[in-house]
Parts: sequence; C-alpha cells; structure tokens
Amino acid sequence: MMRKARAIDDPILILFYSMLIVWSLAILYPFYYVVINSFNGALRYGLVLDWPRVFTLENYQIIFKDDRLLRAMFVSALRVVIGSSITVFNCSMCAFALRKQRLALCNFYLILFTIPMFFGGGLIPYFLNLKRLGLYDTFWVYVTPSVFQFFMVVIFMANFREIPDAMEESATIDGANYFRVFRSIFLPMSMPVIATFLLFAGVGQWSAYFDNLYFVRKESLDTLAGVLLRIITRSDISQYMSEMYKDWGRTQADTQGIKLATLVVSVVPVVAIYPFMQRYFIKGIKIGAVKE
Amino acid sequence: MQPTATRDKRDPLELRKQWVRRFVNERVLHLMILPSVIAVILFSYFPMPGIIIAFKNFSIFKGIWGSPWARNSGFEHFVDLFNSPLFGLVLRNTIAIAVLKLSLLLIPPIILAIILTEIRGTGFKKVTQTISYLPHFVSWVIVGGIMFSLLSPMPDSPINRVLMSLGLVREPVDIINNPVWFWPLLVMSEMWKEVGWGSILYLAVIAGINPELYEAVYIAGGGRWAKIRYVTLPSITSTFVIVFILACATIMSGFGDTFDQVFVLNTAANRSASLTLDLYALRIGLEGGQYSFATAIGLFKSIINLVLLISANHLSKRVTDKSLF
Repeated sequence: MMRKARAIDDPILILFYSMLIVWSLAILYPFYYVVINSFNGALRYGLVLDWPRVFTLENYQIIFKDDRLLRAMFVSALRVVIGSSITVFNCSMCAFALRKQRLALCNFYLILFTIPMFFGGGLIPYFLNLKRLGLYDTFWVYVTPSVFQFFMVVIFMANFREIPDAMEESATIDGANYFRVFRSIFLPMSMPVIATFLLFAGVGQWSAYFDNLYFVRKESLDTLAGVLLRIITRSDISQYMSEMYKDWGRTQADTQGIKLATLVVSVVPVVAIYPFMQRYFIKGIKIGAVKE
Repeated sequence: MQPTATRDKRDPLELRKQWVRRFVNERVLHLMILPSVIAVILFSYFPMPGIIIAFKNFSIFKGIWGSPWARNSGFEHFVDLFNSPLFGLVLRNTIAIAVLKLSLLLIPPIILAIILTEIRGTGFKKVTQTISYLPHFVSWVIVGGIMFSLLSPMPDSPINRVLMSLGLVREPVDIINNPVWFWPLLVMSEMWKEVGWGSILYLAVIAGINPELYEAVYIAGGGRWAKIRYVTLPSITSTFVIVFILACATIMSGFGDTFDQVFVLNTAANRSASLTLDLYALRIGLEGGQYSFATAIGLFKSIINLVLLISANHLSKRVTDKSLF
C-alpha cells in the first residue's frame, strides 16, 4: 500500500515553500508600511509591524480637500477611462480587419506598422512633432499617441483567428456587415483578452508621469502621477498644494504623512482592481502568446 | 461583357478592376484600419526626419529645414559629445547599470518559475503568484516613493531601525543619496518589482513541456534535479536566448526600467552614479534647450543598440546555435 508523499517529508520542498513565503512577505511589507503610516499622525515612523502610533485621518482630509490634488485625480481618472477604451477599441478593430491577411493592401499595412519599431526619431523630434501637431499642453496629448499599440494588435489577431469561420458566415448570411460582425461576435468572444488589455492600458494611463512633466504646461492638466512624483522628491511640498495647505502651518515632518497618503491614493485603485482582473489576464496571455 | 474565354485574364486593366472591386467590398475593413494608420503616420513617421537635427544647429525660429548645418560637416555635436567631460561618466553609469542588471536579473525569474512548478498545493501557488506579480503593476513613481520612505536617512526609518538594532551601523545611513550603493539599489529594487512578472513567460513554456519527457527521466532513475537538468532547463533555453538578445539591444538605455528608476531616484548627491545617457539627454535637451545636441545623443544611442543587437545575435548563433534572426 503506497502512502502518498507528504510535502513535509521533503526538505527541499520545505525550503521552497519558505522561500516563497519570505518573498511574498517582502513584497507585501512595503505596501503595508505605506498604508499604515498614512494613518500615522505622530512624527515618528520607523519599523512598523502593527498599528500607527497615533491614528489619524488628517492626511487624507487634507488631500481630499485640496483643489489641486482633486483636480489631478480627476484628470488621471479621465485619461484612464478615455485612453484605455480608445486604445483597446482601436487595436481590436484594426486586428479584426487584418486577421485573415487576405485583405487588399494587407502587406502594405503590416510593413507600415513594423518599420517604426526599428527606426525612430528620438525624444526631441517626437517632442517637436507634438508641438507641431498642436497637441502640446492639451489633454489629448495624454490619450492620442498611444492609440495604436502593435503588440496589442498582434495578440488580438492571434485571438481572432481562433474564432471559427462558421460563426462569421452565419452572421454575414443574415446580412450583417463587417463592423456588425466585429461588434456582435468577435468582441464579446474575446472578453478575457479585452479585459487584460483594458487593465494594462488603464494602469499605463494612471501611472504616466512623463507626458505630464514635459508635454504639458498648464497646472490644470496635471495628473496624479505627475503631482506624486513632484512631491515625493521634495521636502517642501507647499508649492504643489493649493492655498489651503499653506494655512495649516504644518512642520516638515508631517509632509511625510501627506506624501504617503497621496501615494496610497495612487496605489489603491490599481491594487484593488488587480485581483479581479487577474482571473482574466492569465487566460488572456496564454491565449494570445502561447498559441503563437 | 465579352465572354471570358476570349478575354485575357492577365490583362492589367482587368486585374486592376478586380483589385478595386475587392477594395470596395472590403471598404469597411479599411476604414477600421484607418485610425491606426493615421496614428502611426502622425506619431511615428512624422518625427523621423527630425533626426536630421542632430547634424544641424537647430533653432526653433528657423525650424528643421531652415536651421543651419553644424560644423565639422554636421558632426559638430557628436564631437562635442565625445569630448564632453560628462560623457565618460554618463557612459560608464549607463553601461555598468545595464551589465549589472543583465547578469543579475535574467536568471531569478527562471529560478522562481522552477520553484513554482515544483511545489504542489494549487491554492498556495496561486496566492504566491498573484502576490509576486503585483509590484509589476505599480509604477516606479510609487515604488520610488516607497523607497524614499523606507530608506529615509532619518533615524526612525525602517532600514535604520533594523540596521541599528542589529548593531550593524552606529549612525543612520543614507542609502539613496550614496553613489556607492545606488547601483545595487537599482538592481535589487527592479528584482523586487519584476521577478514575479518575468517568471510568467517561463511558466508558460514549462507548462507546455511534454510530460512524457519527465517520465523518461523518472524511468531512467532520475529524481527532481535530473528532471530539471535534462528536461526543464533545455526547454527554456531558446526562450532565454531570445530574452537575452533582446535585452542586449537595450543596454544603452540601461536595460529594463532604468530610465524610470533613475528619473525618480536621482538626487544631487547620487548624480555621479545615477546620471545615465537618457537622463543626460533629457536634462540637456528637453530641459536645457540644446535640441541638436540631445538628438545627437539619441542617435548615438540607437546606433550602438543596433550594433549590440546584431552582435549578440551573431554571438549566440556561434555559441549555442540558437538566435533571433
């Protein structure tokens, strides 16, 4: 009679399990630290293992009453919604058109899309071009350049090829045109991949700071990531907060709390959506990539 | 219409008509591609001629075509670059960081993937994996902010509390501002952030391995390590080679997330270690207004990257018989 081998019996496995546990803790601790300390009103921070020394909501109150920060959050949220939806929609649409590679001009399109991966002008020409196109210092500079992502199109193409021709034909027989077929058949059937890319594009939009710093001048177009970057690298953050903050007369040490609270506000949406999307994106990547 | 029998099918006019008919039938599809075509032309092709600025003395008022050519038959900026006192420093930083990362960051994802395949317990596996991918989705702005907090030079920061209570140091340390520790810091933080995500690729490859191969090793008397050595590792070699070659093509950019890291973490104090080629080009170009010079840096970088890509590919073909192209 064979006894099933138990994990405990194997010292290597114990080692592996421990390594994974240690690694997971190493990943989680910094987030934990930041969250806990954003509620910390004391001026001493340090190695925190449980509760803040002085629990306070004050950091968050300051942030959510600050006009400039609220505006930045709004701009960021707007670019996530608009940017990721137009990118994913456009790339899937383009992939649908190219999927069979029997299209007239198909090769022309593919070559057109591939060349920029190898040649580029560099940052300065790109910047000058943005100015010439009139996108400098507008909201659209955030969402339009990323509207075409070759990698996304390729994965969508692979995904669409999996869909049986029969489905498409039955729709065409019923008189549907190409766009209808795309909308009613291919899109719904690719939900895992779409969810994956919405997540990726969304996170990219939420985290983008470079365009805020160099392609935009108006304060009213600042994003949360841009503001966050500016405040974490400085000790005196009053220039980035609205007038209200100056009246508080806070000492330097407390800016740490505000920085952390802003950081938490920036991280929480990503971390919150992540477990739900995780279901989809593992499937999505496997469909797209492994079947290549 | 003439009967087909008497019509030459290869008649160019007829072919053209067929093509146009096809196009018209598919016009909706072409419309669907149009936005992407416009985007690519506007954002990728329009800037391309701008590279010529590197050979000119660009002035905004005169525009690209009106600006005068640079001295030394256009190579003035490249000469200035190579003679610039910072160039040596910048090049050293960029290459050192890239090489350090290349040697230390490509293997751990493989190790993680192997560990994950060895353990059983699917619940535990899933949770650990989910946690390990998490930092990949968090931007460097946030991770940098966390690092400033955890590694702060104040005596009550976590790092100092730990180091001092263990008796390893007597005074609070300032890691981020210290040029000596900056490079290891970059490598370790990127490992923290990307090891989990990097293992996904290898896990996918390992999942596709034919189980009969493992059985063969088992029958031949091999245990866990034999299986890894003779089945798992050879199967991921080609993937690894591709990853490595592609990585070589980014050395001049510092490889990996270096730009984001350096942009967030650089301070006046650590600049001797943190100033990389991209950062230098940014400061001089976009911030300092010397557009021609910065474009020259970009061009220099791209050319070197291309050379490295081709060399790495060639070398790999020689040594392991596997290559990208």
